[in-house]
Amino acid sequence: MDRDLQDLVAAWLRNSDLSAARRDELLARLRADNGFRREFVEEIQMHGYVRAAQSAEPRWPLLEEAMGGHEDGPGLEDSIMARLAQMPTPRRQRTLNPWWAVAGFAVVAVGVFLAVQQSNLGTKPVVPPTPLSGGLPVSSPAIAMLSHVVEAAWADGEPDRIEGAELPTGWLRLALGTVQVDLFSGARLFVEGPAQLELRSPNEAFLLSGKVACELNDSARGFRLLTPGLTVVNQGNSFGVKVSESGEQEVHALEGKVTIGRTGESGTSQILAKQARRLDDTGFSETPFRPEEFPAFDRVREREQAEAARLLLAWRAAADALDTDPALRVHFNFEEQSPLDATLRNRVRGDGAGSDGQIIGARWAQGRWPGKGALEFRGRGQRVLLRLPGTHTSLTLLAWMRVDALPQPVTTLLATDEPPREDANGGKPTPADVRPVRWELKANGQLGFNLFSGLVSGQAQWNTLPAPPLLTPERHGQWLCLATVLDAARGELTHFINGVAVARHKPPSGPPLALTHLSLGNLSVTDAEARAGVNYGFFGAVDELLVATRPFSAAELRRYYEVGRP
Amino acid sequence: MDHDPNALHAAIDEVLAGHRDAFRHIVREYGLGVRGFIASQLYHLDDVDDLAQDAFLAAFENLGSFRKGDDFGAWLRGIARNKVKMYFRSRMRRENAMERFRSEVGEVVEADLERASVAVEEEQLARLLNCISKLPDKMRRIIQGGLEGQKAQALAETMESSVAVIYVTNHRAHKLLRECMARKGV
Repeated sequence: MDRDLQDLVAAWLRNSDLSAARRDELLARLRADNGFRREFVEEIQMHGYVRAAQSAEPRWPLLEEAMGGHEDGPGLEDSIMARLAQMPTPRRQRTLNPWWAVAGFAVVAVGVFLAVQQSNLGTKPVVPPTPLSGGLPVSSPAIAMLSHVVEAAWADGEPDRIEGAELPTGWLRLALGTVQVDLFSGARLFVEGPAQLELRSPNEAFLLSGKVACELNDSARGFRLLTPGLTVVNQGNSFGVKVSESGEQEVHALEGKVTIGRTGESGTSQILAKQARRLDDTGFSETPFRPEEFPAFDRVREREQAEAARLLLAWRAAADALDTDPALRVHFNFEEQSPLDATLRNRVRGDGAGSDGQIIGARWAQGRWPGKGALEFRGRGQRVLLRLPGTHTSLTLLAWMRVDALPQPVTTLLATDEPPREDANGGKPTPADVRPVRWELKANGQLGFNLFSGLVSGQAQWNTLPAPPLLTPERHGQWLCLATVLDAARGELTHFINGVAVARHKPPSGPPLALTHLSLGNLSVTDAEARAGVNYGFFGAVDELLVATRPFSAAELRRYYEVGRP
Repeated sequence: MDHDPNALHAAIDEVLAGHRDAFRHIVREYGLGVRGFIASQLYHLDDVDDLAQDAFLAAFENLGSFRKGDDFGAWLRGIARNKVKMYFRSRMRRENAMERFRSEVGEVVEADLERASVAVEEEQLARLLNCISKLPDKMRRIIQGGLEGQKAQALAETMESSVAVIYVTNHRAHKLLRECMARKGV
């Protein structure tokens, strides 16, 4: 057992104290050494399970106290039931947030989708096509962006909003961490949890509890922040407002002066720069100016960078571990490459591995985190060419990508040549006993996997196996994990978005799949298509692609999504 | 963790319809997982139980916001994680440098711990006690005794060994347990 691991476990279990230098040393290794971190997590996880399993009848002191506190109290379930009896019945929430997770969305969409598909495609549902009793979520117009999310945890029951989400009017209940909300009026709010803030309009917000710092410029003039007792009107400066749980409220003029008034009363007063006022039952009084108590742009950025670095490290460890999978044929992780590189390095080597990718036109950009590479595609001509030898019956395709737009009927993600396209692609023949494939997106947001079924009058025919139209405009600009799994043994093809199965098909039987000549992000058009103005180019960015010749399980995909979500 | 989604959804529907007795099913199904998740991060077993209880009560209150199709275990662990963070935060104000150190360690490993929890299936957890009973005698004594606080020293004295050996043996026992839990038909 590694000495560091032993010391860390001992410290974690309160068996020893450590010097400051030793603590720093262990923390540094924990952050940088993925294997060490994994071993430590395995230790404490098993320790936790052993403790929980061996104390078979847990003590639930608060529950027992609530029930009268007798020593030979009822069992766990009875205790909980007694406590719950004093609580109101929970109600199903209707969310107005357009950023509900793909998982929840998929339940509804798949239900509707399958009702149409089942009759003619022989599909079977991934989830029962029963509608959510909460009804379809309704999108209301966005009034702000959730621009940054740092070490945040939303309060119990709140949707798990992610960075980049559009925010409509409504409550934000933050349990921990800091978020930056940019209102479309130009007002910028830094909210530090725990906080309850209601966005009422682009020019108005209501702080029920917690701390908010407002940065305003000229375009946000007139923005009002209300609290249970205060109205703070801004004239283009910055201020901080704090509402404690006990009801005390403070306003700090961080830059320039601020106008304040009592809610429900006429008349206002001004707070000069670097001064603060406190409001309690007796009215306003002066209080020391403490700008450090409010979240600030620089501190938020610092913590954000630290969090991104941590997530990047965790993903790198998982990505490296994946490369040892013998079924992996292609893994582009877009790491350790120069912005001048014209070749995309395949991390998989050895027999049967795919080739490196030849970058045509696509530009290097930032991926999911600062320091992570990606390739950006802008539609016309750009692509990455690669070769993958052999024929295959089972397959997993996975890509982390950011879809910026779907401006044409069909956008190519990854495709092989089919006969009519051979000339356009340099005359590479496709053997008759294998099937080309296309992995693509439709303009309505459908992810699809198409299997070549033959030629009719010189036209390629396809068996189309689509997912519901989930990649709608509100998801454009976000990093998404798209995956499609063909499982020959089960005779199933399943589409996944962000680790959630969103559609399942019974693909028609036929010859094995050929992925010999692959094109990522585009497909050459035929003469006829060129005359008709057809374009298959992808608009967006890709920062990870993998192709494996075995079907990944749903659990594997879920885990890989979890480790890679930005 | 693998749970029957139909039974879970039926229980949720019943609770939301006012039949709160159906919440028993949820406590039974997820109790061990949630307590294990919290226990891996906290020292005092009483605190573990308090936080687990808080997590279940919060889950009950917010059950209406859970979206079918989402991973209920992950949702519940999210609530539990919040409780643990609050716990650390409240203690950090009054505790010493070691407590702050443990809090920092907890933050660094948070994502890995969540991933590790997703990977453990319910049936594996159910096999854990059986797996403990199959450990060699010395290992079983250490596992059953636990190493928290002064227990490692006490065990070392009882077993006429050193604390370092106790830790190494415990580490090996954990590996055996993981292997045993992964085997079906144990």
